[in-house]
Amino acid sequence: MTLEQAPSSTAWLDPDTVEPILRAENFSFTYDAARAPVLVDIDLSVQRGEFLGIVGPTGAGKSTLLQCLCGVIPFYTPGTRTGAVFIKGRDLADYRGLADITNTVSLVLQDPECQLFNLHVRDELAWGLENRGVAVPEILAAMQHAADAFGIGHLLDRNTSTLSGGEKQRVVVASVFALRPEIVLLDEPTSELDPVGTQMVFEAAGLLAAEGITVVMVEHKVEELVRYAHRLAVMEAGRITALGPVRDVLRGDMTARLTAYRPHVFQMGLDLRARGVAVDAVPLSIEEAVGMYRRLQSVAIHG
Amino acid sequence: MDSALAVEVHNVTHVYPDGTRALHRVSLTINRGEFLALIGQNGSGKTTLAKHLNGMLKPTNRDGAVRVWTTDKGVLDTRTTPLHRFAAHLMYVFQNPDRQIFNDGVAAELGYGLDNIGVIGVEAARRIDETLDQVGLRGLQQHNPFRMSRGQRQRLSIAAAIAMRPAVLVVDEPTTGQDRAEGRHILEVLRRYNARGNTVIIISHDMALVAQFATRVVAMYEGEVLADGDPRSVFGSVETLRLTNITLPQVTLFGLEVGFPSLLTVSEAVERVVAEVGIRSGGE
Repeated sequence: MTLEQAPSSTAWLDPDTVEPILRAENFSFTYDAARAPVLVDIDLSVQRGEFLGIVGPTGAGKSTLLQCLCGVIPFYTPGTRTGAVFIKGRDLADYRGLADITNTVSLVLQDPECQLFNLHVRDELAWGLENRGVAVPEILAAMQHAADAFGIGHLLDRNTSTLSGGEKQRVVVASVFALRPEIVLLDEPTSELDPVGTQMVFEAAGLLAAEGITVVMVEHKVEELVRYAHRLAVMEAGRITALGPVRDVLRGDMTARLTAYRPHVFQMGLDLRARGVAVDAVPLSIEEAVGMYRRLQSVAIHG
Repeated sequence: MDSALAVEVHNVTHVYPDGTRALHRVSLTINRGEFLALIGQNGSGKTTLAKHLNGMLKPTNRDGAVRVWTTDKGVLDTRTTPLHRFAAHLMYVFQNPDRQIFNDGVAAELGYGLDNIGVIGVEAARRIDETLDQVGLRGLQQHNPFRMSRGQRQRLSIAAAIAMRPAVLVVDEPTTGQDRAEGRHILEVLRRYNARGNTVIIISHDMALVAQFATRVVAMYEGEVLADGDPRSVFGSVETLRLTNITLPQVTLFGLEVGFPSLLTVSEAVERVVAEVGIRSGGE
């Protein structure tokens, strides 16, 4: 999915329209043995089918938030929680445990090595479905669909240890996709990858969203993120300090530390406007920046 | 710029024991005071080349040679100079800080290297404080590195190298694991170190930072040097770079699309657009 193909519906902008698939309400969390809370008063609603991007400095609590949204906290990692997290309207505290949640929410970690553990790609794709007791013909069909969708058909018989970083991460996302969770959380999935691998993973995340899966992605590579995300959240020191449509968040008042997250073409648009140039829409991508320039040029020529 | 030599890489080939040819007849002359960025996709030979600079790896061909010019010890040839003799002249910082850090205290980590080159006592303490200050780790002298964030550990491993004041500093992927502001901060630290007359060599995938900080860019492809020059000329050779899958900086790509070759920074782009279309009131 590209920027141009991004859905125009903005149903998720109005939290009252539908019950959000994922919701944190006045939520705070403190790790055991920590002095201060790592998450403070988090209020967040994510609608079904939405692609939410989360950016922010290291140590802001982004990874912890993802772990709280998928039940790793508190079912695996203990700590003190106040407020509540709801998955499909049901309080996380009412789930029986992680196994009860994993059918709905999957988490993709930064380092694919932490998640890949089968010898061959084929087995990795089948693993989760086999564990659920899915019938073999259905497993094969789901595997094939995932392999086709993520362009990894040629990798099925490869030993996972021989894949490149980008291929590994793509296999992880495809394996998650094969399970058909309703929500996929991705925690800096491209941080160790070169541009080619990065592109592969963003395309894979875009495919998840295009298939109607709700995606929440923590990522530093904003230039890529804003091509796919509908909304952007900024986290600082345990709090969500900005949340809204991508352009609004990037345009908002930002501390010097955060302006580094503005894509350069976006900053260029803002600076041009500040210089008095009649920029109609601040560009998010190179394509949009070219369009902006062409329009300015035509005004300059034709008056 | 001082034209004195810092490092000379002459006709270096490197073939790993499993037969992988990582470098093929690479020659490169690096002058004192350069801020050089090695770019290229994973597997192009960047790290292998960098590891030749202090003899961690040695050329596998007979006529390949790497020489480091020092101010007080003459020319060191990596084939004949033991690795530890390079420490005071050329430091290599690993991409993964955990391959480097081994002390359980921040000050101890910096003190270890200093002790090895004979800097001790008050001078060592002064350098440790000053360096930690530069990299934004002030006040963490007694912290355990293994309880710090990845970004902090990365800055610590760079600090440990800078504290030794090598004339040549080589940093493999200085911004991995850093957030945007931290990454920029590290490049600022390296720029200040460079401004004191030292040579800085980085390996990086972040082309926006390379465009802004490097004075020279060397693009590698399949073990060979594909392009070598100032950032403007290298990023301008689009056809050549296409091979490497390098993603050019956003403003550079924008400039190429609209016919302003070799834009490197946002402010350059703004000036260029203003010059072309003029300032008109109105807009949103």
